[in-house]
Amino acid sequence: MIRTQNHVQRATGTSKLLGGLAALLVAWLAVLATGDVASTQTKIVEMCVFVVLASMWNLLAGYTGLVSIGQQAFVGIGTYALVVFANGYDQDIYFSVLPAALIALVAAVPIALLAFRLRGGYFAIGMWVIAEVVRLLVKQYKADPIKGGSGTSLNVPVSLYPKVDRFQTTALIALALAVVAVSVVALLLRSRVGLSLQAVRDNEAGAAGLGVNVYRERFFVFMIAALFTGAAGAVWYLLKIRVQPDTAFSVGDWTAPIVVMVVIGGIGTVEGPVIGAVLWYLVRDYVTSSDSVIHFSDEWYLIYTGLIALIVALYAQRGLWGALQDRFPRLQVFPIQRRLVVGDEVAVRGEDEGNG
Amino acid sequence: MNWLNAVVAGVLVGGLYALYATGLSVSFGVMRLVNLAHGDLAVMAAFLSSTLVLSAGGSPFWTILVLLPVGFLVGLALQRVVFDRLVGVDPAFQIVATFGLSIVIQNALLRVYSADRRALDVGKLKVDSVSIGDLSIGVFPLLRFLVAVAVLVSLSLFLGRTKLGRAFRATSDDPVAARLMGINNRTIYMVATGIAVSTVFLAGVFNGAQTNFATSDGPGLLIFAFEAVIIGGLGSLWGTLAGGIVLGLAQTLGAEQFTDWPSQLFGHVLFLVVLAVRPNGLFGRVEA
Amino acid sequence: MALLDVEVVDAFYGDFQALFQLSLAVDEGQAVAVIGANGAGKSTLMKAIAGIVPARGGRISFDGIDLGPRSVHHRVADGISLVPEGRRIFPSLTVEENLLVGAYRGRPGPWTLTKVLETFPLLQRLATRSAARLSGGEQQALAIGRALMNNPRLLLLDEVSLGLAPTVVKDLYASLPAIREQGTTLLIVEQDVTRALTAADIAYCLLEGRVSLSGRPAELSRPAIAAAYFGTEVSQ
Repeated sequence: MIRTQNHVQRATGTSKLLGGLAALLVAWLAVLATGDVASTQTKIVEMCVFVVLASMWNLLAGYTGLVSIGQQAFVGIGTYALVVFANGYDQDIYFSVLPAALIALVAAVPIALLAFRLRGGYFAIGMWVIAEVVRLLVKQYKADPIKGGSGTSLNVPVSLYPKVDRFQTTALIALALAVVAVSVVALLLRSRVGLSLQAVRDNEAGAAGLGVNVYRERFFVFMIAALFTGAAGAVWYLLKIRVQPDTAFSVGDWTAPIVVMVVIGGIGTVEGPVIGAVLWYLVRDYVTSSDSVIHFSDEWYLIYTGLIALIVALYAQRGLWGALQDRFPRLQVFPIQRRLVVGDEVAVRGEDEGNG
Repeated sequence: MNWLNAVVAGVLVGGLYALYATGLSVSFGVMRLVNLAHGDLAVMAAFLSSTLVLSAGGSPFWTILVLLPVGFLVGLALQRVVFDRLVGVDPAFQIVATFGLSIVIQNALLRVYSADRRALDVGKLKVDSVSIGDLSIGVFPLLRFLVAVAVLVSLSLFLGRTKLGRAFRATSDDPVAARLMGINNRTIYMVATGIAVSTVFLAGVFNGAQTNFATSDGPGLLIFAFEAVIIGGLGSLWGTLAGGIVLGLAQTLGAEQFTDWPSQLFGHVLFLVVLAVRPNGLFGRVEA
Repeated sequence: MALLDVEVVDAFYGDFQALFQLSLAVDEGQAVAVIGANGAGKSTLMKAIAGIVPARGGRISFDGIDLGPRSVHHRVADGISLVPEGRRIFPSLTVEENLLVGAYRGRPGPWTLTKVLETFPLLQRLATRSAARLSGGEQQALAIGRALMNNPRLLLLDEVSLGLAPTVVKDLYASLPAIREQGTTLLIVEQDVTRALTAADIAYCLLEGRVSLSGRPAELSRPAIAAAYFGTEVSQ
């Protein structure tokens, strides 16, 4: 009698290969980050911050159905918490990123309690209103260290933070944050929480019937997203220094590009938002710089961006990574999908839903 | 401004918010669709009106006669090209698509009209007011309020008394059952979006005649419309009017009391309070 | 020529194939019953005829015209009305408004608001009441009345008795002769076999998406029906 042994397989050959390539890429970026080219470091910071923001927005929209256009609230809260710790309490600017992220997390509790009363499109706008309220309140706080609507600058005396040093450190922090954020998303989706989230996404009523506490899972993910979004905002301003409420809480500067990146890359996949963020950034960098062959003014650039979001949402909802996966079903960098290996036969669950 | 005047001003501006909110309410009621470009359509109407006035002269009022049918046609086209593909899909794609549309409209307007603020000139109508004792009521805000109420009354009669209106409500209740009655839901959706866009065009022109406007104003107007809908309670036109009025009152009374604070903040705060205390809105039906 | 001709139709319920090469015919003026166990494909058949579920392969024709390209509302205009499973009345409309929506296509014929209210007297006093506040039996009467307002040539009744008390079901079935008198053809899907066979001229039994038995009710023996219903005769 032949016994076949069944086991659950996660990593595939492709995912090991792609994972190795991703690790090499990160190592290369780390080398660049420790160099002395400020423009390269700036690019690394900007790209990594958007990788974090896009991954978190996708975690919400792609896995819990919480489509928020108010994530700029957490960017701004993280930023201003950084300002308070660094300028107000004279703390180390790099260290201050940590409490800034925690403040964003704490702020997310009452925000979730309110916004979770709305569903779908109304949740999206409700979050926007909340971000507006925070922005207006920050603008009204005219005393130090916030200084109201005119804004302020992060206190970075060259004696304490030499510019080369600050750019290096910030680039490394941004890179580390991106690696941690993407890993957290991948690990989260592999965990029990991830399974519940997929059940909720496939059939909310059914999942609730199986004992999944939909509200609690959503709440938990919302907290994670707020934490990392707040951290990303703080890291951005370690580099940019100049802080104003209208930009820190801007829907156009933050949430609009995030949404576009995620849908282009592929909503509901771990890899999609990363690819979307990097691609979006490279393309934007190219077409808005005046010496490029293909050059767009800001307006045309944004018109194309909006059109692409519209077209992808209407006709190509799986996005780039989703489309690639349709063609190459084994394609995945992060093995969050479980494959049941039955003897020689490999049964793949949920292939047609993407590697959700 | 004294308190009584602030109350009257709040009520009157509330009518405008209700007019903004009508289209949002209709789209959501019939298709469960939230159009994030709703406010941008209003701004577009104000710019179109100013172009018409600049090229043909006269008062902005005549442009309404042109813009209402144009808005209806824009709505039909929007439904056919964009929204038909969004009915019944994951809300994430509705939000992304209409958000993209909003970015396109805003930047297209910016491209054509630049970032300068404009105003629609309605002459001395804008400053005229009627005085009753201490109370002074602006003629234009009053007119605007009456127009808003007239639109809501007509819409209410249309929904309540006509065959097509019944078909609207049936589709809103159960689109599949409505199709089984021989109702072509795509026609219903087209008319719904036509109504949504023409009412928001009307609101855009009235707003543009009251205050100056810029290409980036759309999202702010969307938020006011949204707040009026939620404060009033989903699914009720009269609730939306009441919601608009309550929102207007919160803004004007808040600004009256705290003169150096932005008035919209008080509307937002009221919205959050309503959300915390009465999530179904002040006048909303509890969903069965 | 039959009024309704279903010829070798396949249909799917999501990814699940519910009908396999199914054929049946309904003549004008007939009452035809479709019986079968849960999941036999009865409701999918009704939905395929009404156009809510597409028929893949095969052909459904009504009065000689291929229904394939005709959407749901066109079929209603042609004179096919479905009383859907679960009744699906419009809860925010009054009883009278529900009936008026039924007449949306304005097909001429004997059924008017007055006539429907006469046929279902229990709706008479409820006319201005919100339909959400009706009892199950009243809702079912309303759903049938609403479909009649279209003056259909073919009335599809899907699980009329589901969840209703026997006396209520009896009253509803008592109204069928009055409907047939007006020349309306009936296709009845029913789990209550006895009820269906009594009301029908011809009966079809479905088993796993295929016709397992058909004929005049009087000519069908109990054991044959039981075998066709439960599939106990299916060869290995």
